[in-house]
Amino acid sequence: MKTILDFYDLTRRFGDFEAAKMVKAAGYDGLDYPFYGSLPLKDEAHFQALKEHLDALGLICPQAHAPFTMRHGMEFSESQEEYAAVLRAFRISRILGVKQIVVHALNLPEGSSEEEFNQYNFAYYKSLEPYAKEAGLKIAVENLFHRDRKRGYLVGVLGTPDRLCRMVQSLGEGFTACIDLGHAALTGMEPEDFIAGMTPGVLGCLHVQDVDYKEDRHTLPFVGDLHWYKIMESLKAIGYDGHFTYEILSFLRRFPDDLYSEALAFTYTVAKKLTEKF
Amino acid sequence: MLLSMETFTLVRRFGDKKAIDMAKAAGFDAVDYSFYWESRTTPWAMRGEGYADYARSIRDYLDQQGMKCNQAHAHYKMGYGMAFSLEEPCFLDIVRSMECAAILGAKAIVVHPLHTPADVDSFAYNLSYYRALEPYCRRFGIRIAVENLYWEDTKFRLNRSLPGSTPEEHSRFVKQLDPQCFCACVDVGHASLCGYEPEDYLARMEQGLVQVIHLHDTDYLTDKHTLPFTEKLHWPKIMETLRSTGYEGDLTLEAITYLERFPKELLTDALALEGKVGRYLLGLFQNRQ
Repeated sequence: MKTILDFYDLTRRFGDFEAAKMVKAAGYDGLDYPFYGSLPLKDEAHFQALKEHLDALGLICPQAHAPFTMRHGMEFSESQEEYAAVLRAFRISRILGVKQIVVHALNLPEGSSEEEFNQYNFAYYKSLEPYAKEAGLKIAVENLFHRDRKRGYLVGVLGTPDRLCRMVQSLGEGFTACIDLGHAALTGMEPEDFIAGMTPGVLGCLHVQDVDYKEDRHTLPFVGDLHWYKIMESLKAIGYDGHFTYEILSFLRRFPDDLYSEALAFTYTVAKKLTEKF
Repeated sequence: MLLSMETFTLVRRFGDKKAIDMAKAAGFDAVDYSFYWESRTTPWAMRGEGYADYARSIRDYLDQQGMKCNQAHAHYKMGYGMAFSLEEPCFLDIVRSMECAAILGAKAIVVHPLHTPADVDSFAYNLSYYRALEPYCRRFGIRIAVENLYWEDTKFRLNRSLPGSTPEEHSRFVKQLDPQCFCACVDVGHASLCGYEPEDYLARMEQGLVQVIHLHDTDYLTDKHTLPFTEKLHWPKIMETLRSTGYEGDLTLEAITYLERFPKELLTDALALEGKVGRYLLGLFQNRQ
């Protein structure tokens, strides 16, 4: 099981090239490239150079995360800026050698039925499929959540293994599932149970992060309250053959530059210990 | 200035000597010894028969290792209405922990103020409580540090500080006690939970009163007791304020929760990071970063 680190905080602070060196120095096998947030847009030549840099370092980039600015009601067309940003992420992912890219499902207006949600998102994902295929990518569908403002609690979006698997299986071969372990915990399921409930072969990737069951903390395993050894046992039990991909932005975000490498090295030590148990 | 860490999590899991070894290996100069125990029936060498001899043996071990016990923390089961006398087991626990802390070499021991009912004069009640402990400060040669605590006001859904609701009142409270026996402890996390930036709380404390500090990070909502830089407090500002207010005590991390959930096989690495964070904070204090 390869250890992969979400690249967002690193590249935001240190730039792609220096950040990649830091990922390598910490011991990771590769990185998960983020096409979201406030990162400046870079041209394709930049990413070709980055790919060469990664190859020289011996790092892989098997996973990426598409922008999540698309909203319900926007057009599924290249003329729609937010949609075009997703397609751009596909093209760049191809350059980086990405195999799976997480694309968030779109929330529907309050009061919409599950059926309406499924139909709308089925159409959205299917519209993306040809572009993903051209880029040699599988689209990963993630379990998400939204806040029910009226009642003040979090509601799962594709928030059970059954719903997630049904969506992915209905979409077909060009798609896979991504379980965000923290999101599972926030919406009422122990992550190890969520994993155990997945149909064999549907789970393609992970967002590994710890939470306190209340907030989407995106922190390091063992800093929150999840049961990490049970999670690893559950992954093993279902025959998961993907990577161990951290999404621990909040743990790293506030360390000063002078302490960053130490903190990063420690995150790898934790990942290594967990994957050894696998 | 020593770099110290609260060691309760380590002591509970590995015993006193191993905890000292681990703190030393992680780069700490000293330990903050906590006299916590889960219940009165929990076996705890530092409070049973021969407690003083046991404390001396741990002091010897600290000396051998070149480590210090810079400060300590008394048990906190004492509550409103309990007698301020040795007949009261919780009061006796505090006195015993003062004696043991002095044997370990601690200069100060934190004793929590007591939360009182709304119709009780909290200031007066707590002054009488601390004054009841004063003879033991003199007997054992140790200061009591009065920490800023908080209680949850469920009606208004906010945390309220004690003793006093402001840093000025905290200072005023401590100043009414004998300075030979008492000083103030500022817990930066508790300050953040009560509506203060910790740096502002520290700046508003009367100079010279704060001789003990509890450093840990929070999200301003819950008492997280986690590692600095993993939550939201402004560490450079806190360290700068400590320096500018002439703080002369040690830097003590009270990141209990950070260490609590790591399995044994990761604890040394988790501790090593805590040690590096501590050294970094010390560097900020000394204006070296």
